[in-house]
This record gives sequence, C-alpha cells and structure tokens, in this order.
Amino acid sequence: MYILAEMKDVVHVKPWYFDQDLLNVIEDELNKKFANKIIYQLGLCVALFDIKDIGDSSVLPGVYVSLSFFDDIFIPASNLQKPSRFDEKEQLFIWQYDTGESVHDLYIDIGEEIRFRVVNEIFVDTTPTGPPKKNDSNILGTSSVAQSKEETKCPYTIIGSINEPAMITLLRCKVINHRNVTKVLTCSKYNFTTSNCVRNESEGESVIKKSDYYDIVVCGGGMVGAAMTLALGQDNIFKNLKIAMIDTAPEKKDYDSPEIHNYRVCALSPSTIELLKRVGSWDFITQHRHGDVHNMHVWDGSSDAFISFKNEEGSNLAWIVENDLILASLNRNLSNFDNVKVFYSNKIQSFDQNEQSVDLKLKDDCSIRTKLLIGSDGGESFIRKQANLDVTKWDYDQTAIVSTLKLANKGPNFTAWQRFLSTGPIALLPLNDEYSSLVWSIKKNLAKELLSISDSEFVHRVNEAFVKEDFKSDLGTGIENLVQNGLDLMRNVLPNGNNLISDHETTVRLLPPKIESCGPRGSFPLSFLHSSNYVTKRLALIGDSVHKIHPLAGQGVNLGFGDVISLHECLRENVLSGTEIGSWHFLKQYEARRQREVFPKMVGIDALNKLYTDYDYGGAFIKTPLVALRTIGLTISNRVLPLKNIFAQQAMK
Amino acid sequence: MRQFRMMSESWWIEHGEYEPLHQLNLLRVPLVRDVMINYRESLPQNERDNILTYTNEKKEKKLYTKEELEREPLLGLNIIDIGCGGGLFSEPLARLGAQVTSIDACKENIIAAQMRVQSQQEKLGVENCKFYDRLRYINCTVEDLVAVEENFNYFDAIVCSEVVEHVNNLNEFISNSVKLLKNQGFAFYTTINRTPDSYLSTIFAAENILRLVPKGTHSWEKFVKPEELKEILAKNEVSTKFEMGMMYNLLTKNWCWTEYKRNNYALYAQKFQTNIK
Ligand SMILES: Cc1cc2nc3c(=O)[nH]c(=O)nc-3n(C[C@H](O)[C@H](O)[C@H](O)COP(=O)(O)OP(=O)(O)OC[C@H]3O[C@@H](n4cnc5c(N)ncnc54)[C@H](O)[C@@H]3O)c2cc1C
Ligand SMILES: C[S@@+](CC[C@H](N)C(=O)[O-])C[C@H]1O[C@@H](n2cnc3c(N)ncnc32)[C@H](O)[C@@H]1O
Repeated sequence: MYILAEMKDVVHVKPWYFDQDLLNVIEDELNKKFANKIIYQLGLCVALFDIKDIGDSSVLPGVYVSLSFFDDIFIPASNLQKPSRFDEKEQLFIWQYDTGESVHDLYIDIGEEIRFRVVNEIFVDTTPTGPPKKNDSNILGTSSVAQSKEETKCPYTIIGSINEPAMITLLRCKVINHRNVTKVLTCSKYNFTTSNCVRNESEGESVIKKSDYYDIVVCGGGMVGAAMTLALGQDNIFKNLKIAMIDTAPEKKDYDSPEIHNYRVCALSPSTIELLKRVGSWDFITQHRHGDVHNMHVWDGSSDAFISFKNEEGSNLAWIVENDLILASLNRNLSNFDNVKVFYSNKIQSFDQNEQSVDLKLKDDCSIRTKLLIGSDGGESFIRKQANLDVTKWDYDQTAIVSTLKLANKGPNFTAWQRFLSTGPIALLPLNDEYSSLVWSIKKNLAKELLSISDSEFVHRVNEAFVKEDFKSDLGTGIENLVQNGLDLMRNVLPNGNNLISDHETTVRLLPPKIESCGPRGSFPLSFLHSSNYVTKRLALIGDSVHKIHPLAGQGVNLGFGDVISLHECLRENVLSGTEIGSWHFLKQYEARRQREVFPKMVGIDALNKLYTDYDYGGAFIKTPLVALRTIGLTISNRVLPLKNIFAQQAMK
Repeated sequence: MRQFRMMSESWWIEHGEYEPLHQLNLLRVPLVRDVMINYRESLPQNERDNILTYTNEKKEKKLYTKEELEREPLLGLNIIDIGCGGGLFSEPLARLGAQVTSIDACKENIIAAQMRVQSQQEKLGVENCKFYDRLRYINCTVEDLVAVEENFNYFDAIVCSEVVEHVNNLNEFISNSVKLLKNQGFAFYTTINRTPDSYLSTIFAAENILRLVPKGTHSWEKFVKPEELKEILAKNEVSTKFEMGMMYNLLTKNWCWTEYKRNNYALYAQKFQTNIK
C-alpha cells in the first residue's frame, strides 16, 4: 500500500530559522513542500520517513522586501543592481554605483522604498499538512518581519529583480530584511513515504514508467487515421503541438505497383480528392495509377428500370484507387514533420480518460499522456469499446466478394456498373482499359459457394450476374416507378449527389463489359454500425470506428475522410481560439456537424440495400421490393427526410 | 473580495461553477484576438516592427515570421488582465502569443492561477507548455502598478472581464488602469448592466433560485451601465468603439452575441491621448 520513495531536493532555509535545529527545519520544509501533495507518477506523499543525507549548504544572498499587504518577496543578490556587495558591518547590501569618474556606495536601507520587477513566483500548497510543526514565535527573531508572520508557512513567494534596464510591471515595495538571506542546502537526500494514488490501486503495479506527452494522439493508422495525422501535421497552425500516431501494423510507406491491382480498392469522391491534394498525397497517387469513373449505370435485377449518372461539371464522378496506394501516399509524408511521431507495430493496451488528459499505455509498456485521443482504429475499434460508447449495429446476412477482373476486350473503361439483385448488389469499377474491380455483396450462403468454385466458373457467374434475369415481379407496372424512385435514392447517398444529373438521354441500356478472367478473390463480412456519440471527454472517433456501412454506394472511406476534414476544421478553431486542445466545445461541434451529414446517408444506404434484397423476416420470405418497402421502408422513412418525400409522392399517385 | 477566497480552488474545473466564464472565452478571446491583430496591422511600419522584434537565444534580433504569427497571432503584444481571478481569460491570450501580465488583488486567486500553471507543467512537462513563460501572475492592484511611472504607456491592451461590477471606486479604477495603456491601445471590458432585467437574472435567479453562484457574489447597485462606463472612459481620453450584448443560454451553456444589452455586455475602447507628455 505504502511505498518509500527516495527523493532529492534543494531546501531553502529562511534566515529567521538560522538559529534553529537544522534537521528540524529541513524536516519542516520538506513536509511543507511534499506532505499531502500528489506527485506525478508517484502518488500522494504521506509523510517524511527519514533524511538520508544532507549535502553541502550554501548561502543565497539577497534582500527581502514587502508590499504593504504582501511580504514574501525575495530579491536574490544576483538580481540586485550590479555591482553590489554585502557589507558585513552594516549588514546591508551596497550598490557600487559607477558614475564614470568615481564609485559611489549607495545603501539599500531597511524601510527604504524600492521598485522591483516580478521575475518568478514560488508557492507551496498549504492545505492540511501532515506532521505538526514546532512553532515558536522566537524563531521569527528578525525584528522587522516579526509581526507580519503569524503563519509560519508562506504559500506564495515572489522572486523579484531590481537589475533590469527595461523594467516593466514594476511594483513599489519596502525593504524589510537585509542580510544574507536564505540558506540553501543542496542535495539533501531523503525518503518520503508515498501512497500510490493512481486510480486502479493495485499493489505491485505502483511504478509507472516515465511517460511521454503528446498534444494529440491518433490511434489507428489506416487510411482515415493516417489522413488525420497528416492533415494536422502539414498545417502550420498545429506546428507547436506534438502529434503522435500509433498503429498495430508495420510501416507501409512503399508502394511497388504490382502488375495486377490489389483487390482492395476504394472509390474516392471529389471531396476526398480535395483532401488528398491538400495534404500532398494526391501527386503520389497520380504518379502511379487510378481508375476514372466518368459515369455510372445503376439498374435493377427485376425490372427494366435503370438510371445513369454523370457529373454535371464533366469531371470524374469518382476515382478508383487501391487501398495500399492510398496508405502509402499518406504514410510516406508523415515523416516530413518534426512534430509528428509515428509508432508503428505498436498498440494501445489501455487508457484512462480524465478531465485534463488521457493517459495511454502501449504494448511496449510505454506510457503516453495526451490532451486529445483520436480513435481511428476501424470497425472493431478498441477505443470505442473501451470508452463505452453506445452503438447501433447489425450484421448483414451478406458477404462482400472482391477481386480484380480482366476484361475480355481492351478499350475505354470509364463507367461504373452496379446492378441490384435480390441477393445483393454487384458492382464493377473501372481501373484501366483492361481491368476493373469487382465488389459483389451477396448472401452469406451463396458467397461461400462463390468463393469455393474455380476461377473460370466464378468469371462465368459474374458475367451472368450482370445480364441474367433475376426474378420477375408479378405486381404489375407500378413497380417500375417504385424502382425508379429507389434508384433516385442513390442521389441522396452518393458523394456530391446534388451535382449529379441523371442521364436520361441514355435510353438504350448499355451492357457492362464482358469479363475474361479474375485475380485472387477476397471476402469481407458486411455490417452496419453507428455510434450515438462521436466524442467523449478528450476523445474523438473518426472513420469506421464510428460508422460502418454497406459498400454498395462506395462511401465508407469517403465518410471517414469527411470526418477528417470536419475534425481538422474544428480543431483549427480550437487552436485559434486560444483554448486548450481537445476542449469539449469543439469536440461537440465536430460531433454535431458530422452526425448531421453522416447519419442520413447511412440510413439511406441501408434502406437502399434492404429495399432490393430479400430478407427473411421471422419466417416470411419477402420477395418483392414493394413488400419490403412497406415493412422496413416505411419505418425508416419516418426518420429520413429524403426518403419520406419520395414515399409521399408515391402515395399521392 | 472575501467571497472569492472561498471559490479560488475551483476555477479550473471546466464544467464546475465557473463554467460560464470558461464558455465566455469563446466570445471574448476571438474578440480580443481580432481587434488586436487589426491594431498591430494598422500601426506604422516602425512601430509594428518594434512589436514584432524579439531576441533569440543567440542574442540576435529577429522578426516574427508570417507562419509564427499565423499560429500565435498575438506575439509581441503586451496585455494586462486586470482582476484575472484564476486566469481563465489570461491563459488563452498567452497561448495565442501575447505577453500577459495578470493581476488580482486577491492573493488566493493568484495562488489558484499559479497552481494551475504548476500542475500543468508537472503533468505535461514544462517544455510542452512553453507558452506559460509568457504569462505572469502578480498579486497586486492597479494602484500598485501606477505608483511606478515606468509602467505607464506600456500595454497594448487591457482586458478587464467581469471585474468592474465588483469595484468600489470605478472612476479611480478606470483612470488608473488606462494610464498603463499605450496611446492607440485598446481596453476591453465585459460586465453586467444595471437594469431590472439584470437584477432578476443575476441576483434573484442566479443567486437565489438557480444557485449558480453563491449568495453575495454580486451586488446589483455596483453594476455598471454601458453609458456610465463609456463616459468614464471618455473622460480619460479613451473612446468606445464597440459595444454588444452577450446572452448565456443556461441549457446549452453557450454564450452568444446579441443586440440585447440589458444583462451582460462587452465593450472595447481605444486610447487617444491628445497631449502626450
Ligand atoms: C468490401 C469492401 C469494399 C469497400 N469499398 C469501398 C469503396 O469503394 N469506397 C469507400 O469509400 N469505402 C469502401 N469500403 C470501406 C473502407 O474500406 C473503410 O471505410 C475504410 O477502410 C475505413 O478506414 P479506417 O481507417 O477508418 O479503418 P481501417 O481501415 O479498419 O483501419 C484501422 C487501423 O487501425 C489499426 N488498429 C486497430 N486497432 C488498433 C489499436 N488498438 N491500436 C493501434 N492501432 C490499431 C489497424 O492496424 C488499422 O491500420 C469498403 C469496405 C469493404 C469491406
Ligand atoms: C468574476 S472574477 C473575474 C475573473 C476573470 N477576469 C475571468 O473573467 O475569468 C473578478 C475578479 O476581480 C478581482 N477584483 C475585484 N476588484 C478588483 C480590483 N479593484 N483590483 C484587482 N482585482 C479585483 C477579484 O479578486 C476577482 O478575482
């Protein structure tokens, strides 16, 4: 419970204690300083145990002065006018003022008024101390101070100076004590009993390793975390702050342009590209490769309804880039900044949130203290779980199968294709004139089969999925309108949805390119996750750690990058307002701004998936979108404005 | 004075009893920041360079760079916070680069402010909060400072927030404090108006019903009307440039600017000395 700590300190003994027993005086001084005080990483000091060693003492000469209401002002001899000397006979300091011709002795008399400047303040916590003091009035022998010293301890001492040419904030005071003043004992070694006051008070674990301080710590160096760190690192406003990023993975700076694209790719939205340009990563990506999406065809498996998008401004709808390339483009820049330190292959083991800071413990037993912890550690976020944030989550009965596909015919490839099947959406994203990337979300049991069949069989199934009739609804023509409306929903969930125009001239449905062969297949379980809070005390979450969505709109990482943009903005305001980094107001502001953007999109995307996919609701297998709409769609529509409008229009018909 | 002693410990708890003052920083700090950036930019070149010159460790004279000024826009400016309390207003100003001298007549408050500095330095490491070097707390009164002529015309700005409603002789207090101000320098005040509205909200509701602040924190008779404050300032050759009401939302715990000045208000004024000695 209690531990002995050996400490070393310098003790000042005031002149009026000189006639006391030295040991007692030192004991008192030490208790004054430490008893009942919490010493960082040591705990609460309970009492002085013994004094092991008293080193040499020296005398600190100077002058004690007084403001009428405040006496503990000390001007060390070094801060007196120069040259000065102490006159033993007079017991006074004398300023040897050199007029150029002769040297005058100017006495600093007791009771005289002088002006001084405050150069430092020292204070001692005077709240209840441990051991009783031996308190006699006779120790306050020196005449001029006696009456003003009824409390022997002074909580606050001002160190003054009268030796500066440009004296600012001067105070006028009276000289009260004029001799060689404080005695300084160097190197008194002593033991102090301390109790470990760190919260989880477990015996044995009382010694915390030396900790490092960073103003901001980003936990998780995926695409979102790395972008966050970089956005802060490259911003001049944050140059005075220390920033750290911690990631479990080893450093991933290099990108070796494998001949065939990796199957993990992302469709990046225009605002993400803006961010990547701003942090200086986009150049690296364009030096290598990316796919361009000029337009997008979305259609339905059960009817002929379809919709085409292109960007009004004629620029890309999206850019398709490999995850590895994005990561490398971000990571390679992180080392450019002196104030950014990255801990690769490391991990946060535990952390402790309190009013003033978050204290982290890393895998290698290192401790880090920070003012703001940013969690970007992905869907299974340790930070989020540890902070006990409420989440809404469910697993879709779907798996995403991804692969890089080779097209049968080489040629211009700028269209993204997506078809909604009753088993889930399938999408083809252009990489270059020969390759496209596949994201096929499909029910779990079917996915298993698709992952086990041969490459050629798989390619056949992909080709089939884009053209084969899915199922015919027997609910008449009304369904086509409905489907059309559902597709309109896409506008609401796509990046830059409002700038998109549907391409109604394209009345002839084009067919997606035929696939010739496929690369390795990967698969990911799909889930929905949304945290009701994005921030708590000194903690903010970004990326998949707070919102995970179905990949059908290719939005996941873009929402994460959106978080980066927004949090960066809020933290800028935080810094420029002079407030300590990680202040609650600015975290809340981030949360409010972000939730307003993210949540409707997430619900929209989820609705879209449910609208088109068969679901097994308590035994009743619902086949048609219309029925699905009635059951899930309507309940959701009450919460989401755009959906509601669409459905309202539908009802009026 | 006495009632503040009891409260001095709790200054720095963000959601504690001083929450309104913490939140007020979101209005008053940017106000001071923007006015003072303008002030610096509008100075004649030589005076501006004077402000922006500093001596580095190698004893060379340097000018603050554009980047440094973007990070810490108040670099080089001397600001005095009169009645600094626990230093809630002083600290952000120092963080933004200003050289801040903070004074308070109450020793306990200065100690509380110092404790804050010490505990931050202990917790974060001195090298991680270097801006505290620019912040100095002194237990003294304005009268103590004006007793020494060298302090005259020293500061680029005075900030005096939620203080004048506690001051006994306002005339003397203001005329003394503006002596410390440079010509063209700015004085910022925030305080409470003396209106029936403020009696209801500040004394009756805040002290008696909501118990936001201990009884006796304020006495309504001492509250200051903006006209009165402006008049006193004008007498001292300091002319008011801006006044605006401030409203505290008890639910969101946020302040906002408002035209309504019958409760809290902020005001700033610029010194125009006609006959400079
Ligand atoms: C099949 C599929 C296709 C997708 N397609 C697209 C698309 O086309 N467009 C799009 O925008 N999005 C897409 N997404 C979503 C996108 O991949 C994610 O949104 C994105 O990867 C989230 O990034 P993140 O940085 O938040 O999390 P992650 O990428 O999961 O990164 C988390 C990081 O944290 C680290 N970490 C974890 N725990 C700790 C710890 N305790 N301490 C330290 N570090 C830790 C991990 O090592 C990892 O580097 C797709 C997702 C799937 C599954
Ligand atoms: C409500 S507090 C304001 C604290 C601080 N300015 C803030 O806004 O965070 C008022 C402070 O003014 C101080 N004060 C009152 N009259 C004063 C005077 N005449 N001279 C100096 N300080 C004074 C009090 O000690 C108290 O700390």
